[in-house]
Amino acid sequence: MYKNLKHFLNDSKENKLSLHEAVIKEECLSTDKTRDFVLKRAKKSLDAMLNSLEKGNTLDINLPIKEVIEQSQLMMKSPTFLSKDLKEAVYWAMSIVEYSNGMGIICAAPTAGSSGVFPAVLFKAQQMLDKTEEDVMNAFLVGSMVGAIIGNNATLSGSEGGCQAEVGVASAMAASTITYLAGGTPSQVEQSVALSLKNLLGLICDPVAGLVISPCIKRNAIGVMNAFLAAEMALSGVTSIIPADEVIEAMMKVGLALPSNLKETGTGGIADTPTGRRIKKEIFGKK
Amino acid sequence: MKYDSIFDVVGHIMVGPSSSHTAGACRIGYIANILLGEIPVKARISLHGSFAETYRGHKTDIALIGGLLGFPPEDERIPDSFNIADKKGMQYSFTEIDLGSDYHPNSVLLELESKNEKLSIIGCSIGGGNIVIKEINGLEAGFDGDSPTIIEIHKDVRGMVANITSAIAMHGLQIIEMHLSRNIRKGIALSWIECSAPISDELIETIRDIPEMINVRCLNV
Ligand code: SF4
Repeated sequence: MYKNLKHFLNDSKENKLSLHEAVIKEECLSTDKTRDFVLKRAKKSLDAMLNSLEKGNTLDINLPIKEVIEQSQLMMKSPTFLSKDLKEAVYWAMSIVEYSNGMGIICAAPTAGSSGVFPAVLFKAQQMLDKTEEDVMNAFLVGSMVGAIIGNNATLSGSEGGCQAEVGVASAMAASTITYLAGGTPSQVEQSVALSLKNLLGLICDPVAGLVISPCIKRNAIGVMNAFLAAEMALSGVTSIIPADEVIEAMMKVGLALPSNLKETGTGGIADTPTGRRIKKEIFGKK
Repeated sequence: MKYDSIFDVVGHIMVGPSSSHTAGACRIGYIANILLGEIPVKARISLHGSFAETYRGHKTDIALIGGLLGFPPEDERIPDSFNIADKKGMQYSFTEIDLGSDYHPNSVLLELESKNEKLSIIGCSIGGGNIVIKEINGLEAGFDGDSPTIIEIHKDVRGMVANITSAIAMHGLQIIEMHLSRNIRKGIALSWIECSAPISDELIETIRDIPEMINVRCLNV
């Protein structure tokens, strides 16, 4: 498994492999599996993501926090500021997490709470750029490797690092994926990671009543927009002064420094507001 | 390195909304179903810690029943588990329990009955959909259910482990991890053995035939 992004990029360069081919090679090496297995396994995850996206659009979901019911549906109205595509991508991401809350089957990326960002961005970009399934697969592999690298050098859990580790990482994975899908260079892929992660650095995890609903569902929306933004910037040649690997390290340090009431305990941030506390009482009563 | 595969990050296909409170709970039930060998006729489910506090919001209860029905965490039928359990004639009840601070906050005690057997299990959901089966019938366990595992209870007499491990070697399997816990007062011991490849029925039969063996179960994942 690659130590960091530099290692990933250098290895692909030295071996004259495209980024996605480098991912396949590395995955086979570190898990002792065949290329065929890796591609089939990736297809399984992609299928689960697509399935959650399609079902998320249709299912009637009864959420325990009544205030959030049908919020994603509102994003289907015609846009005022965003393009129709971006608005729809946000709608997709929110509806996947709503679907997950209705006990739908999702593919964590990297977690259940942040599972809307990566598929929504990837499949929307595929539609916008008219890319093939094979292109999507290749991009998926690159974004997944970015996720694994961040996980190994920082964390992917809200309880360890706050929401920067969940929605933040999902957004960085999504940004790198579509930068690659759009034909970006390896260095642009790296820039998209640095740019997206920096924007969400310090994001806390503060789920109301401890449930993966609020702020989670709507926080997936910023994950989507931030991914498109970072990819657009990277593809335009904008660079981050701080290299991506250093941003990842910084994220871990910030995560460690966050107090525990801002790390998934549901006792800080918006969870600890009068409304947040009232909702918790309504759901769990006596407690 | 925490993750040596990209599928540790994008490979967990599971029921929402929470990997620890829903998918992990389902998996504990699912493993209990495999260990029992069938859908229980009766299930008494006692929720501990955070499971007890938040199970309604996270649908931990539905997920546990789904698991006990034999549904893995990616099964689409999970939301309908209560109805399916009713149709299959499975009786279940939920209570809250305080197992004490030695147990992970997301723990559950399952007391199960099939037609001929009783089985009690304490399982913990330790995050990201991963779990540990901590106790079986009051004896300490500690396996995660990620590899094929043999779980057996035997009379606490000399030479048992040697007999078991040589049976495994004879069937061409390699032991990845092994653990033994003894209850000296009851004079019994439990061991679990993780193997490198799926466990055959023949191997289970061989182990079952070892004198002083009380119970052998197998988890092929
Ligand atoms: S707020 Fe916490 S639980 Fe919700 S998505 Fe972010 S990290 Fe996950």
